[in-house]
Amino acid sequence: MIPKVILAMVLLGSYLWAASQATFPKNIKSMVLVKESVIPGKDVVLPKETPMFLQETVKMYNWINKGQGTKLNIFIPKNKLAQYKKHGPYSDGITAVAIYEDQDIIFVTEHIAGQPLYGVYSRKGKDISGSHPSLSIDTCYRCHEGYADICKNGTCAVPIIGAFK
Amino acid sequence: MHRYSITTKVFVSHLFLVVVLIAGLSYRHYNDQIERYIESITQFHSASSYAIVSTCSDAIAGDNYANLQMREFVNQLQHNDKLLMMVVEGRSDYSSNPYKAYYDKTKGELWRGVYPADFEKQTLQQITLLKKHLSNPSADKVKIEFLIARLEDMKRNYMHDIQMSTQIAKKSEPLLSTTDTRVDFETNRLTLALKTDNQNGGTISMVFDISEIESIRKRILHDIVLESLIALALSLVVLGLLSANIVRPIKRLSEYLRGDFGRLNPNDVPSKEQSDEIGMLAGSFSQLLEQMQGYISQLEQLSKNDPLTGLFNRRAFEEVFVHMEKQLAEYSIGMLYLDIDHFKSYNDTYGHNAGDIALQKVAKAIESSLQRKGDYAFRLGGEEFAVILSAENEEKVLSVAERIRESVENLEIEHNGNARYRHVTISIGACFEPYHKGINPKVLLERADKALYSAKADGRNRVSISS
Repeated sequence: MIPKVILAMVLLGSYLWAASQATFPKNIKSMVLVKESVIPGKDVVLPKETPMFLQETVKMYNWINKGQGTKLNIFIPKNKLAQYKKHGPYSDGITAVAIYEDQDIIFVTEHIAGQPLYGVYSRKGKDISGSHPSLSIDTCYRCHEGYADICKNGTCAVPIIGAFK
Repeated sequence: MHRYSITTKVFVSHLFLVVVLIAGLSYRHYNDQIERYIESITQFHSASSYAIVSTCSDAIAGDNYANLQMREFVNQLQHNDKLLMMVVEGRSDYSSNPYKAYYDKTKGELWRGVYPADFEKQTLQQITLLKKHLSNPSADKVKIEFLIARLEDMKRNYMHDIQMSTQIAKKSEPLLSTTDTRVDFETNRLTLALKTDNQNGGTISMVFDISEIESIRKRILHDIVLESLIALALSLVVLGLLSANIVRPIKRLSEYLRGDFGRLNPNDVPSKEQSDEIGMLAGSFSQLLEQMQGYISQLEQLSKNDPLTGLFNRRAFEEVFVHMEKQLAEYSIGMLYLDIDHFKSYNDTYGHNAGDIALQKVAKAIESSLQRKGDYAFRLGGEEFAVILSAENEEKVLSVAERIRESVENLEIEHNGNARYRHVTISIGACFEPYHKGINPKVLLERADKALYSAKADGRNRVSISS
């Protein structure tokens, strides 16, 4: 009996890890654009001084838009702007939405009791976290929590450098 | 030291040098080999750890443990059979947070080595907070339970990491107490300290198993001992030949010089033909020998001859007699004892210089009166002379004696002290002895001396023969 329960928990856990956790935002247009950046194309040579975290980000996502790169915009709900400026802590609800404008990808960060949840969707709200390893929720957590020095309370605390403007 | 032969000294001293040389070279060779091996193995591990350095630098820069704990990276470490342990330390690039991660091959794990001081407390508070949210009817239970499960997981990881860190600290401290690359020969471990290339820097200390060094050391030692023994054996042969080669000519020279000095021939000195120092020494001996023999010959000449008249002296008398006895065995021997008449009076009258001149003239007259090769004249001292003749009979002896007496008289050297003749004259006592073994020259001389007394007694300037 017990092993079956454990197996069920493991399967459930795997499912949960594989699927988007954060809710799809239906009100992006009402959010505030706080950052405009780019994911460079695969042929772009990054400056030597590019922080390793950003190098890792580019390495992970430069396949986007057939390697042509994409514009990246970040939107924050109005009620969380003050929290965002201080890098948290965040109240419950959707905290941030990052959009790869040149490809149909929306990254969502939500908080519950100060803990971040992540989700990856198409513009139509389809969960696409399973469509590519770099879009999996596991990757979101590994990157956000792994780079604890850069990611504060689930959002990036590093200013955009020249190469990404 | 003086009691040992030159061969022994040369051999032992050179052997000592050879042993010291071989030992020194062997020691150096051994150390060089070991150092070269350490250097090559260090370079090999440094080069093969390049990917690890890159990943670790990235992890330290972003305070990232997830990347190092990925199965892919841990497998990469596991595949390195020789990597036993690893500690990654540094400070993150943005917040300068301390970073530490451990890897232990025996556990097959890499884990976080440092946490914020309030990590456990914070995690528990967050779990409590999330559980409160669960009681709210409108809460999304799936999401909250997911978050609680994650935090519980983080708490377990924290407990596990702390426990593992405590265990490995004891084990790793002695090996990782240095940030330099070093080798511990007792445990056969190589500690490699590599710098990370993130902004705030860091180190990766890796402990490698180099137990193969034991067999390499044994093999090197075995080779060196073998090479040393071969070198020593060859040296012994060369040293033996060398010392014998140096000493043999000296020995030959020494043995040669130990022979009868009078019979040594300067041309026969051994090793003279050698062009080395031994040859030079033998050449010098040869020259010395030649000079010495010349001096001795001169001395012998001087000791046998009367310096005033040039005739043999009394010292040579017996020697010449023996020589003559050997050479002229078929002849009988005649002996003359000659004395210048009243010679003291001549010296007193005409002075010693005139006396010496008279002696020289008389000696010359005696010598020129001797016609045979085997006849010898001697000055025995003062105005006394002797003549040894190889003569067939008594008449022959008397004939020679008379010829001498006449030739002296015919010199007509004025001598007023010789009242009867007014010139220098001599009296001669003679004797004859047929040849036989054991003739005593002294006895013959005594007989001639007695005959001389007779000649003096009979009026001088005459010959008297012993009967």
